[in-house]
Amino acid sequence: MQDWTSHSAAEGGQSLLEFAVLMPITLLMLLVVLDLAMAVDRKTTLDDALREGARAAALGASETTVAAVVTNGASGLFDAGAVSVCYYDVDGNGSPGDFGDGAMVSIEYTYKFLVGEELTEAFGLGTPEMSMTPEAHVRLEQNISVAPEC
Amino acid sequence: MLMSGGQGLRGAASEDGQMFIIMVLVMTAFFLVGAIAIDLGMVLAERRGIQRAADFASLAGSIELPADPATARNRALEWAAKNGYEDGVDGVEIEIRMLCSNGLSDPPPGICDNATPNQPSACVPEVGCDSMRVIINKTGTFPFSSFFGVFPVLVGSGAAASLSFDVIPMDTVILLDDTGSMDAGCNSSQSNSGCPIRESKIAALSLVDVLLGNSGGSSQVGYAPYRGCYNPPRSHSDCARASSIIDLTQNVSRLGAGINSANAAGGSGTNVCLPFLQALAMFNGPNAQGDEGTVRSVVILTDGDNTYSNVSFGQGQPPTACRPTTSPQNSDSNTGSDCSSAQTRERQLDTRTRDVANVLKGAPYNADVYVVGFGVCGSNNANQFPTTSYCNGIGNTNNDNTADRRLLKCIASSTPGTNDHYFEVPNATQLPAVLQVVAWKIAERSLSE
Repeated sequence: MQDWTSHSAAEGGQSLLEFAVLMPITLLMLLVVLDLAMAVDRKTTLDDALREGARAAALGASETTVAAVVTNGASGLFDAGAVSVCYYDVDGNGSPGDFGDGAMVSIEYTYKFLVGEELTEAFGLGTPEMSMTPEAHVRLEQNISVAPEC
Repeated sequence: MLMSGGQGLRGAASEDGQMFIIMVLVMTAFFLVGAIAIDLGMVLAERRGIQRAADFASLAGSIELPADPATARNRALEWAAKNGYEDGVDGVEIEIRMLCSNGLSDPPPGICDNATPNQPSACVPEVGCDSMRVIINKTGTFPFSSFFGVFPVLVGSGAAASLSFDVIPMDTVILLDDTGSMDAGCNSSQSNSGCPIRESKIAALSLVDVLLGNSGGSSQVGYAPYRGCYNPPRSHSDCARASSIIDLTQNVSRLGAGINSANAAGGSGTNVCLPFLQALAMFNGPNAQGDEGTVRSVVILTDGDNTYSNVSFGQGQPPTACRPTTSPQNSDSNTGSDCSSAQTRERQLDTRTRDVANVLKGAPYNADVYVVGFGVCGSNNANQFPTTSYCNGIGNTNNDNTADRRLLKCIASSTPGTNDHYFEVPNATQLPAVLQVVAWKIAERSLSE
C-alpha cells in the first residue's frame, strides 16, 4: 500500500513536471498566435486608414490634412510623422500635382509583439517586431498647389 | 501486495508521458486553430488590398470617361499595378467593364457593355460611357495553407467608379450669349447647322445631359441667357427675357425648355457682367446647395465684347455692379462698333465684369469659372496665360483685339500658367464638342465611388 502510494505520488510529480515544462511552451505558442492575429488586425487598420488618406489626397487635401486623416483613421496608432505624402508627374508636363497626376500615401509602422522583451531578451534576442509599410497610389482629381515630388 | 505493487508499477509506467501526449495534442490543436485564423486573416487582408486597388483603379480610369474608354481601361490597369495588382502577374486577373448610363447618345440610356468584359471597344461608338467597373481576382497561397498543401485560395473583389454626382453636391450655372452676334449665318428660324445660337443650345443641352444624366445625384444646373439687360426689370423687348432664367434645378425638362427658348437678337448690347450676377443670385438663392463641400461652377459662352447700348439705359437698367459710370447717350472719345476699339464704357464694363467674376471665384463661393470664347476678336496667342500683369491690364486702352481676349482669359479660373478653364472656338459647329470637354472637366471634380 505504501509502495502503491509512493508510485502514485511519483506519477503525480511526473505529470506536474511535464505540465510545468509544456505549459509555458503552450502559452508561448498561444501568445505568438495572438500576436500574429493582432498584427493582421493592425495591418487591416493601417490599410483602412491609408485608404481614407489616399482618397483625401486624390480630392485635393493638403499633406497635413492627409496625414491627419490617416492618423485619425488608425485611432492614433502612430503620429503624423509616420505618414508620407508625395506626388508624381503622370501627364509629363514636369509638374507633379496636376489633375490626373499621381499621389502616393504611405505609412511606416512597426508592430512590436506582445511576447515580451524580458522573455526574448533572456535568450539574447530583441523584441520580435513586424515592420509594415503599406502604400496607396491614387490619381489626383484636383490640382494640388504644394506637391512635393516622390 | 507485490502483485498490487507490480500492478501499480506497471500502471505508473503505462501512464508515463500521458500528460506529454495530451499537451502535444493540445498544442497541435492550438497550432492548427491559430494557423487557420492567421491564414483567414491574411485572406481578408488580401481582399481589402484588392478592394482598395480596385477602388483606386476604377477612379483613375474614370477620369478618362466618357471621352476615351480605351485610355480609361489602360489607366485602370496601370493604377491597379501601382497598388500591387498587375494583371497576369502572381495569379492576378483583372476584368474591366464599361457601363453607360447617362444616355448621351445611342444606344439609349442603359448599360451598354456590362456583358462584354475586357471589350472597351464595344463602347467606343458610345463616347459617353460614364462608368467603369474593375474586378480583380487573385489566386494565391497563404503561409500555413501552403505548408499543409492546401489548395490555393481565390480572392477577389471589384469596384465601380463613374462620372456621376452622387457624392459631391454640385451647382453649375450655364450662361448663354443670345445677342445678335449669335445670329450670324443663321436662317430665319435659327435652326440651320452652323448657326451659332443653334449650336450653343445643342452644346448647353448636352452639358445638362452630362451633369444631370444620372438621376438621384447631387448635381443641379441653372441657366441664364444674357444680352445687355433683362426684361424685367427693364421694359424693353430687346432685353433678354428674365422668364427664360432657370434657377438651380435637377429638372432636365425645365432646363431644356429654357435653353431651347433662346433666340439670338441684338439691340440691347452685350453685358458679360450681368449673367455673372445671375449666377451669384442662384448661388445665394433658395435652391442652392449649402453643403460645405458643394462644388460650384459657372460656364459662360461669350465673345467677350462688352457693349453698352442706349436700349439698356434708363428704367430697369443693369445695377451699378455691372454698369458703366456714364450714360451711353454721352459721347465717347473712343467710340466704335467693331472689335477694333475698346470704348471707355466698354473698358469700365470689362473692369466690372472682372470684379464680379472675382466675387464668384472667391470665398465663400469658390466657383470654377469656365469660359468658352466664340467669335473673339483678333487671333489667339495660346501661350498667353492669365498672369497678374496681363490681367492687371483689364480696362486699359488697348484695342478690342487684345482687350476682349484678355478679359475672357482672366475671368476664367485657369490654373496659373495655363488656360485650362478657357476654351476658344473659331467655328460654331465646334461648340457642342467644346462644351462636352467642359462637362467632363466639371465631372472630373466629382468622381464617385
